Amino acid sequence: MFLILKPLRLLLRALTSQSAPRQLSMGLALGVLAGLVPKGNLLAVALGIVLAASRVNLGIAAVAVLCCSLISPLLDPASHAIGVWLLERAELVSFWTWLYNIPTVPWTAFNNSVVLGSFIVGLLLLYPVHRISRPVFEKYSEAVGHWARRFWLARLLLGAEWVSRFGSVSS
Amino acid sequence: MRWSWLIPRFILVGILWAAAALGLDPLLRHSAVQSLQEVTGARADIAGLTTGWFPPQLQIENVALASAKAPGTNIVEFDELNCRISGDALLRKCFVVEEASLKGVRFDTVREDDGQLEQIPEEESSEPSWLTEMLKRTGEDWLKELAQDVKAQFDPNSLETGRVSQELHTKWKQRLESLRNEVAAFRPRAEQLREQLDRARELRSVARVEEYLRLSRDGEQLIREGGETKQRITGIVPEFRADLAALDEARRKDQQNAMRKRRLLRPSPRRISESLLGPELYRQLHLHVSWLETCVRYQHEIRQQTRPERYRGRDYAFPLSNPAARLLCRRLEISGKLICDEQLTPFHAVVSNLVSDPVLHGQPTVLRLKSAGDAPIELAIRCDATGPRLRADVVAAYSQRTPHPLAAGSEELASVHAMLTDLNWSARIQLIGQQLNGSIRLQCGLESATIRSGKMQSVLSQAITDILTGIESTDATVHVSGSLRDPEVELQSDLGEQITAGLKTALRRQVDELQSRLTTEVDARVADRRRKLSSQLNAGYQELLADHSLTFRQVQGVRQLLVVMLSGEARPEGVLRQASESGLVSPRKGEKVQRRMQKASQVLDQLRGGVFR
Repeated sequence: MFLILKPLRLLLRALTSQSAPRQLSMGLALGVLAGLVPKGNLLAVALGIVLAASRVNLGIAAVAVLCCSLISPLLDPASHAIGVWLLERAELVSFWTWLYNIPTVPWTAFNNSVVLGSFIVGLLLLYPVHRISRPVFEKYSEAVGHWARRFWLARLLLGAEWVSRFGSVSS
Repeated sequence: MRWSWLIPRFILVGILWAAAALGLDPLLRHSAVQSLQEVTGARADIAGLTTGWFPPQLQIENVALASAKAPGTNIVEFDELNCRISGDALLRKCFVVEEASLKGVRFDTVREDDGQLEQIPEEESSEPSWLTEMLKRTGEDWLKELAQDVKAQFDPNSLETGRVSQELHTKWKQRLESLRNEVAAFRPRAEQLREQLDRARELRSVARVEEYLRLSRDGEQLIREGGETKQRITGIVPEFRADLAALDEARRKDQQNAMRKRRLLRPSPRRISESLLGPELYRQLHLHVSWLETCVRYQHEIRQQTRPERYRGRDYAFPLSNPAARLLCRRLEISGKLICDEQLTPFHAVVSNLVSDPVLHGQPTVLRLKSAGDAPIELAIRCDATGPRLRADVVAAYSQRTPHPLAAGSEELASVHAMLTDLNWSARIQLIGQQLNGSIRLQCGLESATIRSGKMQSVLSQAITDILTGIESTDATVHVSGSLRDPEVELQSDLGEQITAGLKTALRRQVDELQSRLTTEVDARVADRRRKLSSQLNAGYQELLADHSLTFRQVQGVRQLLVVMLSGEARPEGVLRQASESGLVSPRKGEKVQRRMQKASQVLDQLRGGVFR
């Protein structure tokens, strides 16, 4: 039982650590950014690494990536328009050309209008999402914690956490 | 540093590493299988696919591509493909294979399963339409036509004599029938005249005279028409003689034609060559042209395969400082075994500059293949798509030591069978844009030539066998030009010339015999026809004259009577004589009348002696 619960406990800790409101809102903002960008390119991988490397709440970030990945096709027309506008700007062409000639950068698929457009949209949404969601997390995170403890799964995992802590104290 | 921060990051790195190390190869293998199955339309098996990162490399093992058209067989199978990929180019999203080797290549191997996919691939014609047309043309049997020519040209039924005699027969039959009808139509009018004369006697004196006058005019008219009819009957004699002269002229022409036909009876050397060597040469040509077609297709297909991953939106291409094609294989070495001359023969091939963008790369793709063994193959294909128009060249030289059976003609009439030995092929074909130009040459020996004849005359079949046996080797060239889809093909060979020359000599004796037979046949037919026509006409002529004379005499008799009656000097003896001579009175009745007249004369004489004395 402990062998099963221990990895679950670690996962839970990874997901529930960094649970300060600021870290929760930052996780949400980065998750939105990573979720909006089409997958299958180096840019999406890089965003995932940045997300994982930063001190944000990964649970919230994972949920945000999942949700935004589902809704991102609906935003394609806007993303495409932004991408086209940027990629066709004469003053930016030299910059894009320079970027395209850097090794590994072509794998980011930045030269695709939807990839670049959605990335820009994600960047633009980064700070507003963080600012708007932070007060919400401050207000509701404690209440959500109490609410979650009512469920058997949460209790089981918390119980496991308690047993682990007991074991470490006793040893 | 807190473990709660580090542990999830370690887990994430671990997941990424596991995905790259364990998931990439199966994913690539799956993609490769799907791509190959789309291309072949049948199952593609890849036993293993391994990638390496430092340096970048790819290794594929035990690949078998099933054939969609032949269940249970593989189109191609190979043991190992090793590719060394340029890392620098890979960082720029270009796949440049510096060096690759394909080992253990085998074609048409047997597989355990049928290798078919569930979906049925679209049916494709194995032969292009032009080849089908060419093979159909070669199927037109020169032997059959030669025999038919001999038969038709020396067939007595096809001669002018027969045609003319038939025309004369029909013409004189119709003419005699027409004259018979004319004479027959004359007779009732003569009868009618006599009846009118009988009725006129019963009339009163003035009316009788008027009727006699009218009947006299009718009689004269009848006599005039009868004379014209007689002229027409007698006029057929000189016309008939002229027709007989025409029949003789037709016979003379037929005999002259028989001499000329012997000179015309010469089958086309081109058709003979095409019939005998055409199918094999056209198949070889098709093979070479299909290689060229593959060159044309590969440019398109390789570009399709290297298209970037489909993102939504639009991709923008920015100029690269070192532009390179998305896919380039600088050198690919292929080794294995191929079926050549019905034997597995080791071969080695090198493909250089296999590229998705030849214009950018600036160098043509070249394949060089060489095989070992008794019948070596040397093949070079150069595909240059660097310019505005694709240019491809195929140069090949190969031999076949195994005798190749040759069969031409139809079993129904006659077919030629022989063995082509020591076949040496050489080909040079060029494709510029869609225009083909080049030739394939075959030099070979000819052995065991026989002719299997069903209906062909034995003399002719023996002659052809002798000719074929005398030919030891042959040389044939097929020239191709025109477009790739509709090429123009012309075959030249000394085989047809040799057979034609031999046939000319061999047929001379047989044709002389046929000619002599034909002359005799013509003479006999003309004599027979003349005899039949003459007898037909003689009989008809005599009959017509007799009928006409009888009727004419009747009319003349009636007219004489009328003349006598109108003159008022009708003596009973004269009237009776006229009536008897013209047939108006039967001989019996004439005798009866004669007796009565004699009695009357006696009575009159007694009266004249006693009363009027």
